[in-house]
Amino acid sequence: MMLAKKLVVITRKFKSRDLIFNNVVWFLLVIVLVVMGLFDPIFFSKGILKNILVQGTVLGVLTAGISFTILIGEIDLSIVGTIGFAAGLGTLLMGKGLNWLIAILLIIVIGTVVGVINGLLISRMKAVSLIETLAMMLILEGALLAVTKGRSIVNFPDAFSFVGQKAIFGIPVMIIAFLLVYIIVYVIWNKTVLGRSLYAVGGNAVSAYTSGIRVDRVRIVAFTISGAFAGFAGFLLASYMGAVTMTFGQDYLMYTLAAAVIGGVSLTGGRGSIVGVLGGVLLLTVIQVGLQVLGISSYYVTMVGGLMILLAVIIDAVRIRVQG
Amino acid sequence: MRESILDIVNVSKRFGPTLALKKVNLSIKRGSVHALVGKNGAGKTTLVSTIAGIIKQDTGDVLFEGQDIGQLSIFDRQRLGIRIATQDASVVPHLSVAENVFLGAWPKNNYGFVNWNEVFRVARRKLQEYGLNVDPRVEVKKLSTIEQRKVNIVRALFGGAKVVILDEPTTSLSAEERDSLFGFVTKLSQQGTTFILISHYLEEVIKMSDEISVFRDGEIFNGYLKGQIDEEKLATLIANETVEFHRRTGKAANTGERTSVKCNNICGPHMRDISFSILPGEIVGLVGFPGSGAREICRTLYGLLSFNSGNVEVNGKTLRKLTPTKALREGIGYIPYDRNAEGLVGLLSIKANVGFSVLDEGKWGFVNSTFETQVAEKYLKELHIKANSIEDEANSLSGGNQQKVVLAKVLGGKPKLLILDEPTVGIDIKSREEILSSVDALTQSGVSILYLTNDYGELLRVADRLLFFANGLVVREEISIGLNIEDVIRMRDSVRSGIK
Ligand SMILES: Nc1ncnc2c1ncn2[C@@H]1O[C@H](COP(=O)(O)OP(=O)(O)OP(=O)(O)O)[C@@H](O)[C@H]1O
Ligand SMILES: [Mg+2]
Repeated sequence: MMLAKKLVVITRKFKSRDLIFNNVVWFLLVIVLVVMGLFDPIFFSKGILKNILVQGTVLGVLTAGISFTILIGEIDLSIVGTIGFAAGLGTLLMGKGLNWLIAILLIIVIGTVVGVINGLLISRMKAVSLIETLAMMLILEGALLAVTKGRSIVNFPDAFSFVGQKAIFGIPVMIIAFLLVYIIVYVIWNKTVLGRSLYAVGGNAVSAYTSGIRVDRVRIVAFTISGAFAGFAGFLLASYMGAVTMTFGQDYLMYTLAAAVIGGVSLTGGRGSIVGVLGGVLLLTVIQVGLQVLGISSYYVTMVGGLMILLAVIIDAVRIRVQG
Repeated sequence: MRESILDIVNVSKRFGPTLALKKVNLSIKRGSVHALVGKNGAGKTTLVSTIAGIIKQDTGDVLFEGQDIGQLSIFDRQRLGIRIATQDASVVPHLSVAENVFLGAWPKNNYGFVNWNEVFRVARRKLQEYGLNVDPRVEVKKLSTIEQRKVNIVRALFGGAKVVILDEPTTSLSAEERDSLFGFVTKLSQQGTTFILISHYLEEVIKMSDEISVFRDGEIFNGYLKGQIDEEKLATLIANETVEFHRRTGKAANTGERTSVKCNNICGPHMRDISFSILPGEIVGLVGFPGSGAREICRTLYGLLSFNSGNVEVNGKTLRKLTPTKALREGIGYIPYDRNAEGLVGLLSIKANVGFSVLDEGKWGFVNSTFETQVAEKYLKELHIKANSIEDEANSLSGGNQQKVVLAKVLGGKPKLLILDEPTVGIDIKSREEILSSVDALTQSGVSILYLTNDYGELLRVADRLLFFANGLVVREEISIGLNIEDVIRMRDSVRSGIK
C-alpha cells in the first residue's frame, strides 16, 4: 500500500513525456522483440537472450568506450581502427610465441596508448576530434593491413579463446565481461568525480574549468578509456571469432554511433546515461540477430544500419527540441 | 486613455510542478513604457516569452492589435513588430555585429542580393547612435559579453518594431550606459514605440515607466501608474513584506596587521604594474573602465588570465602561476560576471553545480554524495533559491535563481578571498539585501573580498576602500566612507584623463 502510494508520487513527479523520452530505447526494444517474435516464435525462447547478449558484447564494450568521448562533446572514430590493429598485432606476436596472457594485456595496452595519443592531440594541440580520430582510424586500419599482409591470423591457443567461446556455470564468459564493463561504467558515470567531470565538460567546458575541473585532463582520460575499451573489444572479438581478418571490426563504427545516440547520449555532449547506452546496444543487436534469424539477405543489412542511425539522429533532435 | 496594443488574457503556464503563470491578465497601452517587476522566479520572463513566441502558454490568449497571435511563430511575431532582447545575451556568435543587428531584415538591392555596404554603413550609424563603439564587421563572439548584450538590445530596437521587450537590459551596465539606453527608449517611445521593461532596479523602473505591474508567484498585480508609487512602496509590493536595507557593520576588528592577500607588481594583458593588498575581513571595491585592469586583475587572481611577471601572496605563500584549480585550493573563490558562459553547467542539477565546490571531499575518487546534498540543501534554504528540489536542472531556474546557484557554489568552497564580479546581476531587491548582508557576515569571520561592479551605489554600501584603475595601474585609493556615487564617477574620470 505504502509502496503503491510512493510509486504514484514518483510517477507524477516526472511528466509522462519525459518518461517516454528518457526510456524511448527500451520501448523500441520491446516493440522490436514482439514484432520479431510474431515472425518467428524463437524470439520468445530463453536461449535467444543468451545469444543476443553474446553477440552484443563487442558492440557493447566499444559503445561504452566511445560514449565517454561523446559525453564530453567529442567523438572517437579511431576505435574501429584500434580494435583491428591491437588484436592483429597481439595475436601475430602470440603466433610467434608470445605468452597468451601477455598477448591479451598487450592488446589492451595498445588500445590505451592510442587513446592517450588521441587525448593529448585533442586536448593539448586542440586538434578537432572528428578529423584527428578519423586520421587515426585510417592509420590503424592501414597498419593492420601492413601487419597481416592481407592474410588472416588464426590458430589461437585455447586459453586465449576461453573468454570468447567458453562458459562458467552455463553463463558464457562474454556475457560476464559485458555486464562487468557496464557495471564499472555505471559506477564511474554516476558515483565518481570523473563521471561528474565528464558531464560538466560536455555540458559547458568553460564553466567546468572555472569551477576547478581540469578540463584537459578529463579529455585525455575520456579518450584513454575509449581506446582501452576498444583494445579490450579487440581481444573479445578475436577470442570469439578465433581469427583476425584484414577488415577486422571495421563495420562496427556505424552501429556503435547509432547505439550510443539511440541510447540517449547527446552528440552535443553533457547528456546521457549508461543504462540508455545498454538499451541502444541491445536494440541494435536484436535487429541484427533478427535479420539473420529471419533470413533477410545481408544485402539489406547496411541499409537497415543506415536507417537506424537516421532514426537515432531524429530521436536526438526531437529530444533536444522537446526537453530544451 | 490610450488604446491597448497588446492584451494578455487569462494566460497560464505550468512547468512540471511549477505554476509559473496563474491566469495573468495584462493590457499594454500603445506608446507606453510598461515595467514588469517581481522577485526571482515570479514569472516575468515566462510572460514575455509567451508574448514573443519563445514558449507557448498552456491556456489563455495573447492578442496583438486585437488579433490572436497564439499560433504564430517567433519569426511571424517579429514580422508583426514584436521584438525581444532576452535576459541572456543571445546573439549569433559566428555572424558579424552588423549581421546580428539586421538579422532577418537585411537590406537587399534590386537583384535580391544582400547589399553588404549598406548593411555595414547603416549598422555603424545605429551602433554609434546608441554609443556602442564596435566595428560592425567584427564577429560577435569576439566581443565581451556586455558588448554582446548591447548588440542584442540594439537589434531589438532596430527595424521598426512596434513592441520592444527588454528583459533586464541594464544588468552590469555602467551608469552612463544606462543613461544612453534610457535616452534611446525615451526617444523611441515618444515616436510611438511600446516598451515592456523588466528590471530589478526600482529607481529606473519608477523613472522610466508609465505603468508598472508587479508579479508575485505567477500572479500579476496591475495598474500602478507613474507618479502614484514610490520606491519603498514598490519594494514592499514586490517582496510582500518590508525590505530591510542592509548596512555594512564595518570592518571586522582587525586581527593584527597580517596581510591576507597581496599582489606584487603584476604585469600582463591590460596590467602594467599592479600592486595592492587586502586585509582579512576587508571589502575592497574596484573601479575602472573596461580594459583598465580592474576586471583583469580579478581574473588573474583566480587563474583565468596569466601574468608575465610579478606574484601573488596568499597568507604568506607566494604564487607565480595560477589556474582555477590551484586558486580554489589556496582558498580563492570567484563569481564570474557571466553566469551562463562561466558560472553554470545548465544541464546539471543544482546539487551537482553547488557540488563542484566540494568534489574533493570524497574518498578514492568518489563523489561524497551525502555531504554534497547537505551543502546544496543548506544554500537552497539560506539563499532562498526558488526550485522544487536540489535535483532540478539549473537550466530550469529563473535568471536570478541561477545566479544564486553560482553564488552557492563559490560559497560552498569556503574561500578566504572572495572575488565578486557583478555578483548581484539579475538578483531581486530582497535577495540583494540578503546577499549583501551575508557577504558582510563572511568578512566578520575574516574572509577578504574584492568587489567589482558598475553599480557604484551598491559598491559604496559594501566596500571599505576603493581602488581606482586606469591603464593597467592602480592610480588612486580612497576610503569609501562619506563618498557618494557622483564622487566615484568624478574620481574615476579624473584618473583616466590624468593619465592621458
Ligand atoms: N524551462 C523551464 N523548466 C522548468 N521550470 C521553469 C522553466 N522556465 C521557468 N521555470 C520556472 O518558472 C518560474 C518563473 O520563472 P521566470 O524565469 O519567469 O522568472 P522571472 O520572474 O523571470 O525571474 P528572474 O527575476 O529570476 O529572472 C520559476 O519558478 C522557474 O523555475
Ligand atoms: Mg527572468
